[in-house]
Amino acid sequence: MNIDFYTCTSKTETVQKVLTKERIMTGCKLLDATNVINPTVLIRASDIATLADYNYLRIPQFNRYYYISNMEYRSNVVAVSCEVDAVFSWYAKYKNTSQLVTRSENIRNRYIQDGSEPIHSDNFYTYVNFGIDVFDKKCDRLILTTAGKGSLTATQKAMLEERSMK
Amino acid sequence: MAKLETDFSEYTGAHVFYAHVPYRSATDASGRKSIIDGSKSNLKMSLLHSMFTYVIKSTDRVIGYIDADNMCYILSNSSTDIGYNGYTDYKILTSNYNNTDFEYKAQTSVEQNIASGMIEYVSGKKSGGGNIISTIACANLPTISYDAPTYSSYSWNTTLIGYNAKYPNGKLGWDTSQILYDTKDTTQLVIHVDDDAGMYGTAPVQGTRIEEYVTNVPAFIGSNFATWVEQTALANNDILDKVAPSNDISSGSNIIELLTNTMPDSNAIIYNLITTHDYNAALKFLNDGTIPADAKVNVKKDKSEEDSDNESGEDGNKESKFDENEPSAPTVNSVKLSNLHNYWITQNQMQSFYSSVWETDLTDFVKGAFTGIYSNLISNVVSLKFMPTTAENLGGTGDTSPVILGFKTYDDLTIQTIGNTTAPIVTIGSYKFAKEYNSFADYAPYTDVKLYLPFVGVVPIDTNLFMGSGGGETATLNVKAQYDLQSGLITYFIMRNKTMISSVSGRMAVEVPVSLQSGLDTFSTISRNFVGKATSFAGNAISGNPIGMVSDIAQGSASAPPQTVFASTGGDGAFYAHPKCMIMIRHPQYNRPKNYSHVVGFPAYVTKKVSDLQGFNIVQNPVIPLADGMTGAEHDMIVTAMQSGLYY
Repeated sequence: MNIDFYTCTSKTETVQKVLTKERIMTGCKLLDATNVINPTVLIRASDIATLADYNYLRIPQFNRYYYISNMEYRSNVVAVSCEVDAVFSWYAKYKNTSQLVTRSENIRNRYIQDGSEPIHSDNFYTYVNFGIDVFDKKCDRLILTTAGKGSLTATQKAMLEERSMK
Repeated sequence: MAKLETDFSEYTGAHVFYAHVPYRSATDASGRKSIIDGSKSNLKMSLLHSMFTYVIKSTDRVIGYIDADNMCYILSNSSTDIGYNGYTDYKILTSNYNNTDFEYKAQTSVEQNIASGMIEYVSGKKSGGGNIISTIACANLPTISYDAPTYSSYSWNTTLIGYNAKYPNGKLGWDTSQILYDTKDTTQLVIHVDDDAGMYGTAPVQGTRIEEYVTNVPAFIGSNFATWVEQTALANNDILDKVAPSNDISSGSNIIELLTNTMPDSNAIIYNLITTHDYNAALKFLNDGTIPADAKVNVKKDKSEEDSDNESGEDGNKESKFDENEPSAPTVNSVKLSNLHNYWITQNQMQSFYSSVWETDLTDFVKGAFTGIYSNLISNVVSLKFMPTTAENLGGTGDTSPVILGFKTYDDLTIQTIGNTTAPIVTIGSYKFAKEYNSFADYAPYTDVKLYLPFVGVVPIDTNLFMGSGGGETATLNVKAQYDLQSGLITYFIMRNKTMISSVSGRMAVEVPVSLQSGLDTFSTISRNFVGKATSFAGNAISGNPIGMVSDIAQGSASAPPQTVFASTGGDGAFYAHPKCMIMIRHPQYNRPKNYSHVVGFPAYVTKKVSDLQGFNIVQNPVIPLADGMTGAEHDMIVTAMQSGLYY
């Protein structure tokens, strides 16, 4: 069987891997007892010299991408242990699903604080005076409030005096 | 604008954005008047709005920089952005209404800026004119799609647009053959917007041109088209009444063009373009894709989408409603309704007042002891206050007049009266809030706002109320006050823009102790004692000198207290304070590493399609269908990886 070997320069957390140095290895075999999640691939020992460049492969029969997790050199073959990259392998199947994105590098809801954004304990302050003077420091007036109607007329006074004498 | 700064990632690269530039607004009316009997027929009215529609496909980052004059410079790294413009008319034409009543109503909500008012066509619609593309019933205006704008009168190819126009009224122009490129000095697409409101939807201001036969048309029309219609003779169906009966008028635009202009102050609408007020931030965005802190994007909404319960509020875009309730002065106050006299008195005048009282002819008091008219004279001094503000703030000064104290008028002591009119509402000052972070950190409990008011102290302010409150712009704190000379209180009205949110009062005036008891009450006491002890020689007492009896009679009275000119209470300390209001804001500070967004991510909480994700994203509870051949283990791997965070 043919297997596509690649050099993957992406982070393992990257969904869509950047793959370079593609090489199709022919005459590869699967180990007798293997599985689709962590298969072991046997390749010819003559290809050993070129294996050092590769860390990623695709097994067309499985239709999956794999990380190369280990290479074991035996007498005339190399056993390449693989670990499935499910995120990349199945991307086409779930890329059209809608998901709840809670944190994102490029989508930012500035008005949500979910507790993971560190806040410094040292606050800073803005104290700003504004407006006019509410009171006048140079004011020298008082407010005198009185009640009354003012002086009585002479007639009114006379009437009061007369009544009081009585 | 919604609180959520939305998904900027859709507008950070190649994408399509839209600019609708109002060009002309006109209202036409026409009709025919018979020369035989004056009957009117073929009356019609139309409302026309013309817009230039730019649909621009950017091939690189593009951003709008809005300067202080609200000119939006559209900047791009690429000179090869493809744009095209169309000329779109929206015309509402009434059917002939002849002598029937013409119907109109206000249009409260249309797609932004298209129409400021509407005419409700009664029984049909009619189009006409060489460049009319679509005649649209006003009811359908909100649902006009911008995805496929109708246009005409243009020619274009991949590098050249055959349209060239200048912005009305000498505004900066553009040449669509070079729509976008580089800095604001070289970009050719400059659009006038109103970033506060217009960009997101206010009606354009329209001018009027009045020609013959029009009555009752106001000189200038704002946004209220319905009001204008209501006031026109047209609405009253007498538009032709002033036309001479010998004239047979049949050409609409020759009769009258009620309203036409080039909408000089109207505002463009821009959709799907990131805008900023920070020019350097705009250039940085073009350079490295950093989204400006004040970035906004006016997302073109698909109004056909139903708003489900889940979608409702996903971006926190509920808007607050604030009715205006500004304080205003009443027509009368308590002083005007009372028998009180207020004097705006100096220290020297106060001394004179004391002296006048002390030097009152004692004969009067002795007589008064019998008549009783002076017995409570001191009680007529209602108060003496120190309330240091201007006379205008207290209701203004009146004439100078002799001091009245109960039944006595001191003719020799004339003093300025005060407070004869209702005290005004005094504008103390304003403070426009600004966000430090454009984020949750600007809101409570992270940011705390307090307001210091002289004579009141520190008043807590609802931070959220001023920092946006519903996704809008920051508000202005307005402080107004009323000085009440009668109570000595200053009442503050704390307002969010024009909405009062609270009022507080503080005691401003210091009550000055008035020890006139030393004079008037002592005389009253003397007199009462005298009356009680010496009734038998009342006749002599009346004519004699009472001073001679003081040593004798005073033994039965209280010792005269020392006179105090005026003494302040502890309230004087308040006058040592700073006389202005002060806003006191405590801001938090981030401690966020530079690679925070790349390795931790910002809070997003949005629903997105996986294929639309870029960069680092964490998905909560991923819903991944089991595809053909996918094992359960692989499914779990995908779910676990998405929950931990992946780079897309």
